Amino acid sequence: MARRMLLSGNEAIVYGALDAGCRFYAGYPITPSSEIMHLMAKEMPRVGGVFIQAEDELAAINMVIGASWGGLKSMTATSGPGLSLMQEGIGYAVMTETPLVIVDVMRTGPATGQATKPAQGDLMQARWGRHGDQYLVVLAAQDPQEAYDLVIEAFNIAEELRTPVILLIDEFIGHGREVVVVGKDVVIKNRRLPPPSGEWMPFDSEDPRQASPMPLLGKGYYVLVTGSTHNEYGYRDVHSFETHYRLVKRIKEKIIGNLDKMPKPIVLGKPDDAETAIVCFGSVCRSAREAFYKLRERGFRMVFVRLRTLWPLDYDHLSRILDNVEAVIVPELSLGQLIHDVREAVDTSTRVIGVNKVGGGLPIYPSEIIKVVKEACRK
Amino acid sequence: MASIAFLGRGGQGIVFAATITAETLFNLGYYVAQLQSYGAEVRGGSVLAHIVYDNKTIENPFIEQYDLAIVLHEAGLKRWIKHLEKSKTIIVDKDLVKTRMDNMVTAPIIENVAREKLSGSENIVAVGIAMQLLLGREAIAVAKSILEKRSSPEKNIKALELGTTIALNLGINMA
Repeated sequence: MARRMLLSGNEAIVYGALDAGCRFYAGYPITPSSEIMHLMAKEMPRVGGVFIQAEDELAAINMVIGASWGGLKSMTATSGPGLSLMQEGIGYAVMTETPLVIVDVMRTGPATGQATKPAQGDLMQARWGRHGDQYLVVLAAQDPQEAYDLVIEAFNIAEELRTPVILLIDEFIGHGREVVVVGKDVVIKNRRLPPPSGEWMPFDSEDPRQASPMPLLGKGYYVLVTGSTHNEYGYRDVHSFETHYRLVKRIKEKIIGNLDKMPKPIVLGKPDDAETAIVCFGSVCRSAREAFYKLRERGFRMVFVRLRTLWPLDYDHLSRILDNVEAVIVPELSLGQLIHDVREAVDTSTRVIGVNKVGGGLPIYPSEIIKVVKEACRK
Repeated sequence: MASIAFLGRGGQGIVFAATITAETLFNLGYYVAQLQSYGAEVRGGSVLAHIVYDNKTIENPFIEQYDLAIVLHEAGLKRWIKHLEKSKTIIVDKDLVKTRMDNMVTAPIIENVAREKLSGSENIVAVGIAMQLLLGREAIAVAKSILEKRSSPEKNIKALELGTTIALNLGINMA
């Protein structure tokens, strides 16, 4: 039953994950994500799940992979430095098509940075942090309510597509407390298991957009799982071009080809009529939306785009929205990462201007975005 | 939409003050957003915690000025001076805050805390001041019921009452 609670984003993520059916959590504490671990330690035993404080992030991600192959919906949470340590395991999860969820509560970096201060500089790391040709899903929430909603989505996508999903929030969201409605009627998706009889392949699919059925360890299936290149049955094949190309291309297609399953961007204003656009993700969108409304009241022809799925990114959709604008403003709590995507989505005559601020726990205020839009419109 | 900020030094319980205030407002039926900024140190450093509340969903909690700010230590003031300059009413401890601005009112918070042997509860005194000034006795009653379920309830409820007395003596009408 739906109930209204005052929760931090970190707490909302725990309740969302449990409502999605998460029954395994392994993690290692790191500011500003530690409250997820603390609350998981308290709540997980109540639902009959398993909580483990791992010895480090490397162990945590590998425990999550193992638990997922054991049949449990599994997750971990960390921050930028921890995500760096988890990359090898995440790459393994991509290659073995292991459903799991990783929450990254972003703080300033690189390295230790400012542990208690928010940032949005992990976008590229989340998307591209592993070696090799690898594709996974990256989502971003703007507040505690959406953290709750999107962690459920993250589990659904992970299970349906057999893939790791990274959910990005930042310290503002993780530690900020707001009213969150939990326990709503939500659609929960579960992974597809092999049929009781007949032919099936654990690492291939006739439809490249569909994940293969996933055999579980300890349930009577013959299971081969390897991070090395493998054929449709899981047997290693570290020589053949055809096997490797087919495998990585299928995993790519499974992610890129399922844009329609990803949370859609929130678009405000009329793209056809707009001269200037604001494109953003995460907590900064709340200031950006206020700036958008204020500018529109003053007669500026604006469109506002809040991305909730950062990868795979629907460049065509973004291009269509930004087709008529002369300038795009991209506010980010980093020196600029999303801005590269926006540049890719527009033609070279469109000016793309970053509003970049990071460190010290300072948000980007609406007034700072308004100032940049006004300057952009004067030129 | 209204806003309250608590500022001070690490160890004074600034975030806890905001937490109790946010829970009080939530229990009164408001939409609430609580944000804070602090360092990695357990003691010392600058701490700011603010709450935005409204009868409708909070669209944007990132604000640059406050309706009411309560400053318990100079360390909390300097870093956020631009926000405070734009704020409506600032109540500062008369002894631990040296800076003075036109929108400031001094209050004998720490002096009274010492006299009443409530050391360590100056944060709850600040909650009492804020709740009394902005929402009155109903909010104080709700805050009390929240503090009763936390540690050191007797001491903290005395601190809350001290805050209401200090607020009434300030002669400010904000409700």
